[in-house]
Amino acid sequence: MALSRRVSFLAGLRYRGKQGMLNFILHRITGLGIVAFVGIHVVAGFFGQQFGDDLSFALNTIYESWQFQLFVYFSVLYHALNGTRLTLMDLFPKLMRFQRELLWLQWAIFVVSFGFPSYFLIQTSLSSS
Amino acid sequence: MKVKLRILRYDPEKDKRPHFENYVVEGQPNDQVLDLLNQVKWYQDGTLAYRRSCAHGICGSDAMRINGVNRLACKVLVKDVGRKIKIEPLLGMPVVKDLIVDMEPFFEHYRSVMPYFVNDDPPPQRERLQSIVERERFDDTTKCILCAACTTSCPSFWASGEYIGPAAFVQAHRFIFDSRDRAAAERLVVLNERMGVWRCHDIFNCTEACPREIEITKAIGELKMAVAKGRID
Amino acid sequence: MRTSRPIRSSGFIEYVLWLFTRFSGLLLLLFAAISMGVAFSLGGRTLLDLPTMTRWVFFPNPNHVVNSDIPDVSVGWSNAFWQIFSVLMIFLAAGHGINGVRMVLEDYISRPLLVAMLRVLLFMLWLACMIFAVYVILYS
Ligand code: SF4
Ligand code: FES
Repeated sequence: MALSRRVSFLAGLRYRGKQGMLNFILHRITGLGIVAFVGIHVVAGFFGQQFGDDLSFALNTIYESWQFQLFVYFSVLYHALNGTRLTLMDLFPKLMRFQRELLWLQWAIFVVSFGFPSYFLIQTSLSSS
Repeated sequence: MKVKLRILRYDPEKDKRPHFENYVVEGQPNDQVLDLLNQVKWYQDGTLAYRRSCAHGICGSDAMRINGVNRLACKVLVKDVGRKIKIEPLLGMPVVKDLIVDMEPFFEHYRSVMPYFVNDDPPPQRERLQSIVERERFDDTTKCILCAACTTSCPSFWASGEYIGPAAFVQAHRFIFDSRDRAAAERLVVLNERMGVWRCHDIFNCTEACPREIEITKAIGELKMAVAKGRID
Repeated sequence: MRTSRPIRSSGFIEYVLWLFTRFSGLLLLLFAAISMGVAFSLGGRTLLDLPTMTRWVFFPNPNHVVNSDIPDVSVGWSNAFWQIFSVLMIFLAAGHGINGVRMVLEDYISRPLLVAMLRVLLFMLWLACMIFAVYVILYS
């Protein structure tokens, strides 16, 4: 059974879905992002430990910079919150009636729980450097 | 009031690729977008092709992408979308001409979920009775007009035409949760296929696109639970 | 109530992975909360910054969180409980991530043979992850 694909990725992006579509795209991007940087981190850690070469140290420096930490934190937090919302809706389909409200609730939680730690992170890294 | 229409035109027999064409028509805020298309076809360019029948949002012929989202041209008014309107055919199905798409892939999935009443029990004296509560259970999904707005708005369907798609799920829901029907188990097997309900990622594009305001994603959610549990409650 | 459990159709694996994705996601959150809580209770309250915290949450292994100042870091954590905890966490996280990648690949690659090959590749990647993780957790 061949998969037939009829709409290209970009043509799909041009569809003006509402928030749900934005969340879907962000969920995929953050998910792939997490896989990518955990992968890089593991590989770099391994090579660093075994051979101590410059490349892995360079990678680790990028990985440990506060800008990157911010990015990681954004991805993980977003992916976790969005995933929780999806799981809850799948387990209790009745919740889907309130999907728009749930989305706003999710953003509210996100803004608060992303805002405070990243504020402190930025503050400490700016003052210490 | 002048309204600008930008319509994606494509005639597979003449054109190499689809292209936009612009039309300016006279319109009122309360006009349907379908009225504007009619103006173009009747007075400006008779070659424009689109499908329509009832003009009252009940036959499901004229679903198309209006300003980027799937709508029925006869249910959208000019005042809802402004004076610049971009009209494209539905995504994900082969274009026959201009705004007409080949609905066969859509109906193929529709037929795959057995969208008909199955009950081989001997018929009772009068009719098969159903309580108000039992009827209420699947009321929402009886409203579908098979316009394909939902299925063609779904990223999972864009990714693979094999995906059964929201409209067929709505039909499955309508019969599976009907207390008089007896073929729920067979339908659940179909829904459990590789391109069945598990490809739904709760994106809600379908729910937002449905002109009948059916809570499609919720119906799919109930189907997922039914397939997972192997029973209906 | 009128139906029996549907016979296994071709989507059975799809269903299992769907369930796995939801539950591994929830469990990972729970695990993250547990390791964060324990890191705090071991005295990390004033010593943890966000990056260190992230490290604890992802992989609570003294090997991984080298420069945090939690006292007794290796004593408190290198027992069987935390080793199993870590292995389980990697099992869930790698499975969740790799299955997600499979999902995306299947959506955007339309050549069936390529998809099949990539699936095998991903599965091997997952196995490699597990072996590597168990080795690191148990022997270092
Ligand atoms: S569920 Fe709604 S959008 Fe989908 S085919 Fe039926 S009426 Fe159209
Ligand atoms: S023309 Fe019948 S639904 Fe629009």
